[in-house]
Amino acid sequence: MIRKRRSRLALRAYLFLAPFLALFSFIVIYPIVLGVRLSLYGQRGARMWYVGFLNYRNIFTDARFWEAFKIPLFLLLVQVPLMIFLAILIAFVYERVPRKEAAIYRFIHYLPYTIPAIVAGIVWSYIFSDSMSPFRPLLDALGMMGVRILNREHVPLVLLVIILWEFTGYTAFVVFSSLLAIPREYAEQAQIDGATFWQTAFFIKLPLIRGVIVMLFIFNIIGALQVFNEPWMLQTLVVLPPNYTPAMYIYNSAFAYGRFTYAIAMGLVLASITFLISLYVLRTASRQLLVQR
Amino acid sequence: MKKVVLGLLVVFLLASVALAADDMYPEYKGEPVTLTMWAWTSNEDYSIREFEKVYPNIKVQWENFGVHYEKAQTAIAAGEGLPDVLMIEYTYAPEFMDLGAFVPINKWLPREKFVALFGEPALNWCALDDNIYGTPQDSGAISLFYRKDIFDKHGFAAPQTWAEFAEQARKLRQADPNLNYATVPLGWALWWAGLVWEAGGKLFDYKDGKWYIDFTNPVAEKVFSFWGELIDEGTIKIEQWWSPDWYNSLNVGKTAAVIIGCWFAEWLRYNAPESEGLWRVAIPPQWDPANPHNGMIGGSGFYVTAHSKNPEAAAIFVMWLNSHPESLKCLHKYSNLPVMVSTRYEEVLDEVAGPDQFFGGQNIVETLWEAHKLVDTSYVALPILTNVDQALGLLLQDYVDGKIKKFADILPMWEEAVVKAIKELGYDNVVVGELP
Amino acid sequence: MRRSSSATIAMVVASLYFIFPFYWLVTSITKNTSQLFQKSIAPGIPNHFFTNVRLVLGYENGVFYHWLKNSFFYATTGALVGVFVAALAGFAFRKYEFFGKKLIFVLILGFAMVPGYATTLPLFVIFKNFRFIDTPWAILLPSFINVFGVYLMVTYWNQVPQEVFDAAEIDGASDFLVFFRIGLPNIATGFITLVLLAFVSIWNNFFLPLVMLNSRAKMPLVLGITTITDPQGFPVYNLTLTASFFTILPLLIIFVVFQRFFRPQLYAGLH
Repeated sequence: MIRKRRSRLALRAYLFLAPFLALFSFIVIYPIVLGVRLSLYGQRGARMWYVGFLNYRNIFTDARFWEAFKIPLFLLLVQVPLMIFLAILIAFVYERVPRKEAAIYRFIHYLPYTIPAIVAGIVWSYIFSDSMSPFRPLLDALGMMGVRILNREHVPLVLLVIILWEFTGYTAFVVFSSLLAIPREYAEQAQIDGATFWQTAFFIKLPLIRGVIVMLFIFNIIGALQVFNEPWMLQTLVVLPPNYTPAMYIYNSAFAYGRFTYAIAMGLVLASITFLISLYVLRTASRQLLVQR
Repeated sequence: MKKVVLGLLVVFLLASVALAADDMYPEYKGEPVTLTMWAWTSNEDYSIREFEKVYPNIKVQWENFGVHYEKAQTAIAAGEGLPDVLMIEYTYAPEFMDLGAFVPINKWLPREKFVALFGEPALNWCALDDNIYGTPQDSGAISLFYRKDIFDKHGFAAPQTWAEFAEQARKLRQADPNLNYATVPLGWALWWAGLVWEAGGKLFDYKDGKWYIDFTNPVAEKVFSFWGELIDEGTIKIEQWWSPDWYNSLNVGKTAAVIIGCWFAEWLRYNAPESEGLWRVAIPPQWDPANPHNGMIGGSGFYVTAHSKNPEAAAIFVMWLNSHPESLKCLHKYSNLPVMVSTRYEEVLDEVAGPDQFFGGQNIVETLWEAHKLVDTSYVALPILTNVDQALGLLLQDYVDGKIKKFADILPMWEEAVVKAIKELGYDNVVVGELP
Repeated sequence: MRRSSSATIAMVVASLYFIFPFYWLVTSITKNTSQLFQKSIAPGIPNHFFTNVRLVLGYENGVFYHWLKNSFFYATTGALVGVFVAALAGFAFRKYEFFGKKLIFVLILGFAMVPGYATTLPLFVIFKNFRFIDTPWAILLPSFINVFGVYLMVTYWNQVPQEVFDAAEIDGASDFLVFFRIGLPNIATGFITLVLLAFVSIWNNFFLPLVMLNSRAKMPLVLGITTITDPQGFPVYNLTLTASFFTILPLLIIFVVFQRFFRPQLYAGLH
C-alpha cells in the first residue's frame, strides 16, 4: 500500500519534471552526447577522421590549456568570495535603509547587469584608456605620469573591477529576494530577545538562506572557470594571449582556428574540472537542498 | 570616301568593343533562383538592384551580420549552412579555400577572363591551384593620410621617401613631444606584411602545393629595422589601433599621419567628422622613388561557397557585382568603396572622381587610383592568418610591456611562432627559409 | 533615520561605482563621434542626441523596430516559459521522493557546466536537421532551459513551510492545484526575480542568435545594434551606443514596474 502510494508520487514527480527534462535532453544533453562522439575525431574544415582519444591525450600535454587556468583560479579565490560577501552585506542594507531608498539602490545596482557585454566593452575600454580615462588626473596626481593604465600585468585587477561591477548587484538582488521570503516572526523574535540588526542578519537570517548562498557559490565557480566576456572585451586595449582563459582558448580553437572537435574535447575536460571543484559544495548543497521527508 | 570608310570602321570597332564588354558576362540559362549572400559592407543592395534588372532570373538576398567569421566557421565544420556568396578579406580567403569552403567557378569565369577583368595580381586573392573561387571587390592599396594643418605648421610636404618620412618624424618629435608623427599598430599582421609588400617583398607565399615562409629575407629585415630604429629611439610609438585612444588621437589631431589601406578615407569621414578639411592623401613614401611600388592592407573579395546549390548563378553574380561599371558606380557612390581592382574601373573613373570636401577639396580618387596602380605584385597569404596575427600581437605587447628590448628581434621570433603554429595544425607541406 | 546613516553613506559611495559606466553611456549618446572620443565626461556641446536618435531609428528603413519587437518576443516567451518550467521542476524536487532524485539533481548541474562555445557545432547540426536554423525556435528552445532557475526554485520552494503544503493536502487539493493555487503565490517574489533576470539574460544573448539566425530582420536588438556600421562595415560608435541605450531602456522600465512586487512574503495557511 505504502509502496504503491510512493510510486504514484514518483510518477507525479516525473510529471512535474518532464517539461524541463525533455527540453534539457534535447538542447543540452543531446548536443553534448554528439559532442562526445565528435571529440573522438580529428577535423579540418568539413573533413573529419576518427582518432580515438588523441584529442584528450593532446589536451593533457597542451601547456596552453593548463596555463589558461591562472585567471580562473585568481577569480575563484578572490573575486567569488569577495563578491558574495559584498552582495550579502548589500542585501541586508536593502532591508535596513528606508524602503524607498532601498528601491533606488536596487535599481542602481541592477544597472550594470542590463548593459550588454558588447556595450560594457566600449564603456570600460574608454574608462581604462590612457588618453581619456577619468582616472588619469588621479594617476597623474599620484606621480604616475605617463604610466600606461592597462598593460598585461594589470589585467587581472581590471577584471576584478569589471566583474564585481557587473554581478555584485545581481547577486545582492538574488540574496535579497530570498530574504524577503523569511517569515517575519523569526527576525522579530530575535530582536525582541535583544539582538542587533547585524546579529539578527548574520546569525538568524543568513543560515536560513544558506541554500541560496551555496547555489550562488556554485554558479559563480562555474562563471569564474568559464570567464570569457570580460577579458575578451579588454582586447581593444591590450593584446591578450588566445589562451588567456580556458573559455577563450576553447572559443579561439573553434571559431578562429576552426578546430571544433578539439574545442569540444577541451570543453568536456573543462566541464569535468568545474564539476570536480563544485562537487564538494554540491554534495553539501544536495544534502541541504533535497531535504529528506 | 576614305573618311566614310574610316568612320564606318570606327563605328564597327566601337560596336565590337561594346559587344566584347557585354560578352564578358555569360547569359544565365538556368532556373529562376534566389541567391543568399553575407557581406558586412552596407550598400550592396544598389548594385544588386542593377544586377537583377540584367538577370531577372537571379535574385540576391543579402544579409549583414557585422562580422560573420564565427558563423562561417561553424557552417564549414557542419558541412552545410553557408550562403551562396560569402564576403571574406583577401588575406583570410586562402584559409577558407584550403578548408574547402569554396567551389571553383572557372567554368563560368576562366582564368583569361578573370585576368582581363581583375588583373594578374588579384589571382592570388581569389584562386588557389588554378581554381578560381571568387572575385575581388575593393583595393587596400597603401596610402598616406596626413593632417595638412600639422604638416604646414612644421613646414613638411608629403614625404616621397622613407628617409624623408623618418626625418620628418624625428623633427616633429623634437618640436612637439606630445604629437605623434605616425604610429604603428600593436599587432595587425596585415599592416606589417603590407609594408613589406610595399617595399617589394613578402613574408610568405604559396606555389605548387607548398606553403613558403621566410620572414627574415633581406626586404623584410630592411623594413623591420627601419621601423625598429624609429620605435626603439621613441620617435614612433606603438599604439593599439581602433582603440578609444586611437580614435581620440585622430579626432583631436594628436597624430599627424596614418599609413593604411585606401579604404581608410571613408573611415575618417565617419569617425573623425570634425576634422573635415584637415586631411590630405598621398601615395606612400618609397624606398626607391625611381621604381615606385606599392602593397595593400586589407581589401575583400566575394567567393562562391561549396554549399551553394547554384554556383553558376553565384559565379555570374560575383563577376558582375565586382566588375560591371554599373555596379562599380553604385559601390562607389553609396559606400565610397575603392573598387579599383577591376580593370573596368577606368571606365567609371571620370565619373566617380572629383573634389572631396572632407579632404579639403582634394581629388582623392585620383591619388588613390595612382597608389593602387603601383600594386603590381602579390602573394598568397598563409592559411593560418589568425595565428600569424595573434603571434605578432603578443610579441608587440611584450615589447610594449618591456619584455623585449630590441624591436628588430621580433621578426625572427614571429617567424618561429608562425612555423610552430602551422606545423601544429598539421601542415606538412611547409618550406621554411625560402620563397618561390 | 540615524541608525541607517552609515549604511547610507557606504551605499552612496558604492552606487557611484555602479552608476558611472551607465552615466558615461547616457552622456555619450548626446555626442557625435568626434565628441565621443575627446576627454570629457560632460554631455556633448552642441548636443547631438536627436540626430543620433533619428539616425538609429531611420537606419536601414527602421530595422531597429524589427529588432525591438524580436527582442520582446524572444525574451518574454523565453523568460516566462523557462521560469515556469523551472518552477515545475523545483516543485518536484521539493515535494517528492523518487528514484534518481539526487542523481538527476546533480547531473543537471554537471551537464550545464559544459561551456556553450564547445557545443555550438553539434547544436548547430541538430538545429539544421530539425530545420530550426533561422527560425525563432533556435532562440526560444535554448532559452526555455534555465538551470540557475531550477536550483533557485528548489531553494525558494524549500522556504515555503511544510505546514502550507500539509494544510492544502488535508483540504484534499490535487498536486497540480497545490502547485498553482498555493505554491506559486508563495514563491511569487522568487518567480518574479527569476523572470526578471532571465528576461535580461535572454534579451542580451548575443552569441546564439549570431550563429543560429541568418536574416537581419529576425535578429534581436543586441545583435542588431552591432550591425550598425559605416558603409564599409566599421562600427559607428555614437550610433551603436545610442542604439544600446534604447536596448537597455526597456530593461530598466521592466525593473521599475516589477519592483512593486518586492515585499516580504506572507504565508497563506500560516496566518
